[in-house]
Amino acid sequence: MTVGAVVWTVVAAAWLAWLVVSQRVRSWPGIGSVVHALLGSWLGRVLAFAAWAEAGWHLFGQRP
Amino acid sequence: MRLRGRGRLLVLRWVWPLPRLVGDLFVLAFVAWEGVQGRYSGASHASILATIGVVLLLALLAGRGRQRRRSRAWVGDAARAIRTTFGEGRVGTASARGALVWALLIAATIGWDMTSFVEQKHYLPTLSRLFGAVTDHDWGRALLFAAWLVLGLYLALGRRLPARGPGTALRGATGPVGRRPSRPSSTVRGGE
Repeated sequence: MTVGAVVWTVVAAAWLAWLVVSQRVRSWPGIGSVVHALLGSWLGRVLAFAAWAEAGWHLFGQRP
Repeated sequence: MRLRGRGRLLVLRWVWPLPRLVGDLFVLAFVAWEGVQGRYSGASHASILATIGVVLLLALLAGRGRQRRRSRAWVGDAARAIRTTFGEGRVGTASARGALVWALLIAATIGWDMTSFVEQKHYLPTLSRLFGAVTDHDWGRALLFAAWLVLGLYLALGRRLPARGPGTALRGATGPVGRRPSRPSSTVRGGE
């Protein structure tokens, strides 16, 4: 396993663990709260939309 | 011949779901078609740009007057939440600490991706290279495209106020009439 693969595995595990924990502990903001906050105004929605559009363009039209 | 009563109801029951069905079939066909496109093809570029355009148009059409908060109030709330939870030596609430974990995770992901990109070594794959291993396959590209499309539609249409006629949204800084005022941070649950 390469260094990069190890780091990405750790990062993915951290994401997974936090997604599960934040869903189970009510006092911590879960993914739903984050999305709710982001989509709460036009500014947040536009930022999320820009990230979505860029990701799609890069992933499906550019990726080397 | 005009249908009446029960006959008309039966016809409507059969015809009514048809536009929805046709729409669903069109989206499925589009996703399957996108799956077999090469990432450098002109058709692929055109379809991705068209998808972004259509979703943006949907967001503008469906979202007019149905946004929960004004942007200025939203930014103000976020700044106030940061000041009151982390300012002046405060430890912060549970919800603020949770928000910090989110920020750290996002920073770690972007930071490591940038590091891998700058280094350009085969043993340091970037995030797009990892996703690229999936999109190299037709099925992988189609599935990922479907997920991207669903996410985009949610960003465009999700979490809107119900349509209740013009002028019902954005009344005041505390949220729509008839609802509880939103929490000061409007970003996180619990921890107040």
